[in-house]
Amino acid sequence: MLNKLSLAGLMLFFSQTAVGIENFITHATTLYPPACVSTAPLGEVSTPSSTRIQFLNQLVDLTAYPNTNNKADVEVLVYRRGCKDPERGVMFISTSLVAGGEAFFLPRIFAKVEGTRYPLRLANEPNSFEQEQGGTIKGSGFREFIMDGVAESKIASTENIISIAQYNGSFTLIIQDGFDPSIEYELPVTAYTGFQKPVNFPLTGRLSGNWVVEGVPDQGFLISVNEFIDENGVQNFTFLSWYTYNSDGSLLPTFMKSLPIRLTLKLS
Amino acid sequence: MTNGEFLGSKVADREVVGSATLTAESCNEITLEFDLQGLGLGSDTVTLNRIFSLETAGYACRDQTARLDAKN
Repeated sequence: MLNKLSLAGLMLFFSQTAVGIENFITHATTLYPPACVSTAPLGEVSTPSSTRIQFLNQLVDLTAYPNTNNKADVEVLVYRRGCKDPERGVMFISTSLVAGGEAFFLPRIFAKVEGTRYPLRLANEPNSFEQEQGGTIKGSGFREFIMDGVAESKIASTENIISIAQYNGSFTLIIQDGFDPSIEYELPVTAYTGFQKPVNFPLTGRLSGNWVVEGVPDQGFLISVNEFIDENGVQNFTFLSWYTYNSDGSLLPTFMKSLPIRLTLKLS
Repeated sequence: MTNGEFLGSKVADREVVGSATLTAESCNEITLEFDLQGLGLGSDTVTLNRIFSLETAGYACRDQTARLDAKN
């Protein structure tokens, strides 16, 4: 049975806080720029509704668990938001069980491009690659049930791995019931053509390196962001030194007199 | 930092002479706000760009997992 979603039907407009947690639609090959999303818990990086392209926001019937003869009403929100990198975006899906409903089988997600179906993994942590992290739903209103994160990784092959260009382009999103694969919902999604500043860009070790001041190319900074982990979690320590170049391009350290600078690490 | 010891273990005297705030805008852009007026260096907000960057899978930033994998 193939049920095509009618966006005109069963439309529900609920607030972001009522949706629940965000789950990435992604793949282990990192279809979105790794730095597009923070490594912070998803609950801290939820995208404001004004900065995303929304494709779906409605109730979807999914097979209930453990009584598979029943259907669970699940609020499903699908949207894409952009990255700082041009023409790069991240696809999101949020599911939230209607209050009082049964638990449900987490759906499988596919992208159909010109007749080819590409499996998309559900991950509940940004930039996660471990298979056991996929497909686990945690959060209020949900009954934790691992369904298809691992399975989706296993069914990916060299022939059906979606490319970065395809992921960021237009395609048909297929939401397949996690219990009965004959039940599918199709949803057209469009490309993200713009770009936007990440909601919460982490200041991490990946930003260590040599930097020059815009407009003043003969001056710059050597920045080292060290991520020390102790009993209190990650404790960033940043070392910053200012330098200039001489006329032949050689590095001229400027802060030869050691100069401690108290840095305020800020997430933007 | 003053009154230290070269190649020694003596703890130097430290004094806060200014402040700086780093804000990561993207893989290749950092905003630096600094206030070093105490040193006569003024205060300003500047944009920093990378001199060069190495890309992994087409991206300038490597994710934490990839870095750990490379280390292991």
